[in-house]
Amino acid sequence: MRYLAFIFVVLFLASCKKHNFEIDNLNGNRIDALGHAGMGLSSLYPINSAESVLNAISIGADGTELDIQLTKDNILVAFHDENLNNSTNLEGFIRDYTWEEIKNASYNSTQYLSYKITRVSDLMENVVNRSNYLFSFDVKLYPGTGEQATSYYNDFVNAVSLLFNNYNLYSHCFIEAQSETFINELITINGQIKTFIYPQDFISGFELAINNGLYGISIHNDNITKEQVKIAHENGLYVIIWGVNKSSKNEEAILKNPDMIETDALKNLIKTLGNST
Amino acid sequence: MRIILAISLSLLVNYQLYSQLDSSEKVRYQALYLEIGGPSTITSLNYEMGLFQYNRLKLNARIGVGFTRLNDFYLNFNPDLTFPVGLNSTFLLSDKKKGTLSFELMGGNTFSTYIRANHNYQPEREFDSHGYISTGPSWIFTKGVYTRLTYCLLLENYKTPFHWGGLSIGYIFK
Repeated sequence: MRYLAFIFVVLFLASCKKHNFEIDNLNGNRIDALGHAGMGLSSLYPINSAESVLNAISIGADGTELDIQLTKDNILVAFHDENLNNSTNLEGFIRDYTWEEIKNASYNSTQYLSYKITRVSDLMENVVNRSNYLFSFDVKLYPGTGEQATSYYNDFVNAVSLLFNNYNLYSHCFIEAQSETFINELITINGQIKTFIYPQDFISGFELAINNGLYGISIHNDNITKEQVKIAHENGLYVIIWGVNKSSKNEEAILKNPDMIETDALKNLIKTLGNST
Repeated sequence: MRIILAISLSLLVNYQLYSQLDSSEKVRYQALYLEIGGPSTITSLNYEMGLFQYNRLKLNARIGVGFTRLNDFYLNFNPDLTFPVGLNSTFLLSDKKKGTLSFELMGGNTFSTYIRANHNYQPEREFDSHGYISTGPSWIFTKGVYTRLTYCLLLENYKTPFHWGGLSIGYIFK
């Protein structure tokens, strides 16, 4: 019995553990907790759905990452996969559908729960106190090979620029992209947008960001160290860490001192950071 | 379409079989059980009552309530619910000292209601209904503890099939 009581006490004390992180970054020494496409992969809400994003904000996230793609009629929608086959009741590619054709498509990842694909402008219009939250738009470029492919980047860049202008997103929204060409086209037509390069490794990302005058680097947790985050900060680059899929990874990412973390374990990250800021 | 026909046929066969039985053979059987997975997808609490019994065959009716989530995306209490209803045909395979082993075949509907965002991103309740068939062995311990393992074929909106499983644990009141 005494042993049992001892175990309970130890478990209780462990659950009350205080996190005292000494955060040192460009973001006023605080790390913003962003959801991975809303509530992340472990939620019953499909990633990038409006419900997932609204839920993330409701539980206290500072904002969320969102994957964005371009439809045939140049509407930005929040969707991750290259094609619609695996996660919706439609087949084919986002770029081959107009918004009218795609708006009634349903995610089929969870039985009996039929959520719709989100138009990014609808989200920007309907999130209450939107400017209090951060949105990091992860640009998913799937130009295809047809005639449409030639103007795809240009159309995408214009759609992003229009979105930022229409909803005045400059203070609280960012663009993350893997393509240097895309980022350069975007900067050319709208230099006000804060852009993050999304590199495979820190060195190439750092060089690209410095050479192109970008706002920062968005990088997988496994591909950056605490020292590299420090180097980025010393050169004025903000750092977003993603690929954080569980609670233990949250702590690992926090210890690197990034400016933002995009996580699947959002509740844990909010709780952990709440203790330290 | 073939799957819907299969469900209909299964229910029809059950009905034909049991409707021929004398009503005096009605069985006094009630069960309360928790099902993880199954036709309500996540979990449900179910009540089952015996309708007829004939030798080793028994027909039960089932009704349950399950939930997938209690709060909506704005964290207000607004549960997503499921209501599995159906008929359960059981065939007694063995009756031993420690309990009885049966094979079960079930079919029915699951009514579901859940919250999604409307065009203004306000919570809006949706209602759907779905079909299911499931089958598998059950074991009833002599003290009345009921366990069942099933394979389920769920038909979302009666057209999209999902392969699923279910584990039930409960108690039999006779």
